[in-house]
Amino acid sequence: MDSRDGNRQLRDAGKVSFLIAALCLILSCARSLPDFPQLDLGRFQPEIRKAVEQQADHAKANPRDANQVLQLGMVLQAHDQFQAAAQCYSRAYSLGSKRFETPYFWGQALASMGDYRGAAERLRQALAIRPRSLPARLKLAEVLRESGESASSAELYRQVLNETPENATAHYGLGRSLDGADAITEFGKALALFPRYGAAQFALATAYRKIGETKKAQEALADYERDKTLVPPLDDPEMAAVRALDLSATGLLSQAADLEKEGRLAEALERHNRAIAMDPKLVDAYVNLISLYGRLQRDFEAEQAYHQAIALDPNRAEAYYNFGVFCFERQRLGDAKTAFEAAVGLNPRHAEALHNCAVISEREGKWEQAAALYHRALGIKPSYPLAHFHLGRLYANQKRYALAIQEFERSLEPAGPETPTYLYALAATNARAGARSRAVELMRQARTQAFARGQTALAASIDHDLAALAR
Amino acid sequence: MIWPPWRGSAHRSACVTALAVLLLACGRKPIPWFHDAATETGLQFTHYTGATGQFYMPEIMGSGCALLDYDGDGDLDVFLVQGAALDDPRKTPGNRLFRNELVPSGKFRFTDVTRQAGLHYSGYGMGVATGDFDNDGRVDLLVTNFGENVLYRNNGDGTFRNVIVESPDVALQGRWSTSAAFFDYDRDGWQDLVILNYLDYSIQANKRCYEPAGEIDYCTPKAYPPASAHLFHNEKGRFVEVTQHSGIGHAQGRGLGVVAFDANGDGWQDLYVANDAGANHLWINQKNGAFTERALESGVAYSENGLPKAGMGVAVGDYDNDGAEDLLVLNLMREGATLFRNNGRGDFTDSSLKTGIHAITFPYTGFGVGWFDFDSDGWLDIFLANGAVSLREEQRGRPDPFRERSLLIRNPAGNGGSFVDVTQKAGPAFDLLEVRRGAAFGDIDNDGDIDILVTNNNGPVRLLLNDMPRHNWLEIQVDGAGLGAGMSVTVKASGLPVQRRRVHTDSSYLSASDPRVHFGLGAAERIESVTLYRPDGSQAQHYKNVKLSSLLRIGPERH
Repeated sequence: MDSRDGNRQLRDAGKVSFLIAALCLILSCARSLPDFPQLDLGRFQPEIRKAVEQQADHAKANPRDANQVLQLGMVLQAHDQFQAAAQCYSRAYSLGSKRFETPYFWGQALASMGDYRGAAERLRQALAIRPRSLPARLKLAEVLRESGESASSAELYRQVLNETPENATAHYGLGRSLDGADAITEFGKALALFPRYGAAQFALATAYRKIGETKKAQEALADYERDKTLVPPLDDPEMAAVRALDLSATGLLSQAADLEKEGRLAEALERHNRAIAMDPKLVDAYVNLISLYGRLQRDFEAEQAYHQAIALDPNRAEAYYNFGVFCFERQRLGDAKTAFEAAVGLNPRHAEALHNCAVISEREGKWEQAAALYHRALGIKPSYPLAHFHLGRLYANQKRYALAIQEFERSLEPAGPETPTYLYALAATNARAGARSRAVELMRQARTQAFARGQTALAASIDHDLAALAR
Repeated sequence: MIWPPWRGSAHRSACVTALAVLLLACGRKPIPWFHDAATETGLQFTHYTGATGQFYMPEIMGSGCALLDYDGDGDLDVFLVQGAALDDPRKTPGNRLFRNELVPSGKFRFTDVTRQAGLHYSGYGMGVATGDFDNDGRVDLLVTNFGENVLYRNNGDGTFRNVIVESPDVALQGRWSTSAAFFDYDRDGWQDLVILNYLDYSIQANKRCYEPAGEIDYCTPKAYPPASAHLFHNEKGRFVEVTQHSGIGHAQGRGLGVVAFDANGDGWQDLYVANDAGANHLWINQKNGAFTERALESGVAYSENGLPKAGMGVAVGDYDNDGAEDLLVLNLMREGATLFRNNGRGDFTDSSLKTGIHAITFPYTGFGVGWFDFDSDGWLDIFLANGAVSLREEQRGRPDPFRERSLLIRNPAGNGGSFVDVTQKAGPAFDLLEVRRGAAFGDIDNDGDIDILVTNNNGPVRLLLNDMPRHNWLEIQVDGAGLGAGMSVTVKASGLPVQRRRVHTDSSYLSASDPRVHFGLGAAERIESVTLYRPDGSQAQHYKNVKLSSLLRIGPERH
């Protein structure tokens, strides 16, 4: 064999190698489609199993339909099956889904699993589709902070605030990335926008503590103790759609709460009953049903729910409180008082229960006791307009006008549907105290606000009193 | 034809590279940093939960372990707490004491001496605390139970005596006791005792709970009312309850982890309690027999976002070598552990995000934990014994769907960087997915590095021996009455910052560790000084010319 044969062999070998390499390259470049997750549904609660199976069947019948796969991911995520959900989103994304929801939900699922790097990547993809999504930007900023990238997190919060300076969550998030006076400023802004932002109050207290402002730290902590878990609402219709798929007992309770707020009481009741069917020892459901049945005028069932609640958990203050309200509305003042006192006994910081005890004491003619109870409630919850109003009215009835005026003034913040009434009371007390021109000015304000809120009957009463003052 | 057909340097380089890769692939694997020596040393023990399928709460909580030199022969023995059948706790394999035969035989093996030692009590065991409560220079034991606790006095002859009748308050009959600690809160020279209680719970009142997909699961502890910790004053070897008088009874929590340490540097021992699903407690010693709860004001009640996390295991240690002990509290998966850095004078900052601890620990549920210098570089690292309490999504349908990896996390060594998860380098023992609970730390084989004893819920004990390459070290043992509890030691070695460590056996979860103090000294050429301090902060002894890589024993006359 001569060198030419050898060279030919080498060239042939080279061609074969090249072809193999090219084939490998093509195969590797071909996007590998993530499989459907393996789902062991055997022990899922039947309703949840049915919902997941249904969607899984749809998805597997249309394995290349990105929307069906996305839907499967959503129903899994609704039930905290984050890994399986992430796999669905990965498949939907690989199928070319251009929907914002796909990388957004994927990022949320990955964040729930602690995969911050992955979550950040997907959230950025979501923002590439919908750059102005506030929930996605806030989530990305949070993920960056949780993964220790505080500078990037701060940058993103600043961008949000440039466009929406009145976002309490962004101010709080930015504050978490800053120190000292800058942090305090941001937490302060968050609280100005949403005064009962528990996490911001805690963060503010921590920041004050760090700079040695002990008294201010203590004041912030007092507010925090009351508002611990309260956060500003966030309009996130995409994640709301996921939560709406939650068929677990707690998910159903959450849906019930939303329905009740919308006045859809029958539907709220149905959700509660489904939750109880799933978990007969779900105390929260029975606690809620006390007031829900009460609103539906189904008194026997309301009492039954109360007894079931305290049988399951004798230490649930809210069960006693709700029953107290139920009894009060039916003029069963003795039962109401017992129930509210039980609630306070279990939770001495239950401002609403203390307030209601005060109202009953007032009805019983026990003025000093009532005043003391109002003060206790207000000591726990200083911005409690109704309590200020009732205390003001008590003082006014005792002709202690200066104190009454003080309390009525405090009842005006934060403003709410009852503010025209409180303003009216303030005006009337000023009139009784001899401050006529002040009374007229306040009555005019009250009338304007009453009209603005469509409270025509109240406005008519105010008009009548204004006419009397003019004579 | 000649082979290989060399044609140019690029081709030659590619072939050489391929050959090198081939050789490396066939070459030796790196030596694991730890290996499990339980079986080879005769440490045969499997924890029993008594699980009945009813998802009773105690079944998921696990039990603890202790490293102690009960016979005073200079090596660490092993005490393992056992569970029981919940319908009849007398039906149980019982707790176990294993004697370490290393000293004097030189053979590293364990022998079950439970019966001879008198420690064969059967109950639903939870935790163990060690300390010298009768000041005879020998280590005693408290075993906590779901049910009645047991107090053992070391007789000094290889046996223990159950002395609960002498301190009946300690029994806390009918309650669920968890972690405990011996500590001298009133500085009278006698070790007092704190015992945590978890829940106001009974088997009869067990609730049925479900995870989000509706499958039955263990309840969150929030389903049950909390309980208060209990404090006992040591009246020369007998304990009297002072819970209400001390103020400790004024706050309730679901207590799981406890450490006694001087949080505010005033020379008096305070208490930190990790409470499950609620605010943690920091009981500041008022120096008059009373304590005041100050966790919220001190920054250690909650994590940075103001929300309570789980709070199971807790470890105390000066991870940044600034002279102030810091706190690490372990939580549930999807919460992340919380690292509270001590700013001095009892003020703490949540540094979990900044140090990377949060991100590393987020996917896990942590129980046993300890600060220990596994690589002897002078900076405290962390081991976390992990295992879930609610079923893990990816293990649904499998038996025991609570298994997790444990973690080994390396300290960035004062460079201001983040902690690093080095678990993958630690060895096959760290690749196991288990339901780990207790962890005790100590130099079990007396080779100058720290090993780890780990318990598994309903599973075998693990003895993780440290096989790291040898660096310089120093260990200090304080002998005599009280065994030096609460004393601290500073060591200055060339090229390293001053390290301050304390003599204590508490922290972690339901467990008790080696009271000897270990210092990693890396490549230091000499030890410049060793200083021993009493619990009140006053200096007891100062040493120079201490030999590198040795055990320094300090006798009672020296402190």
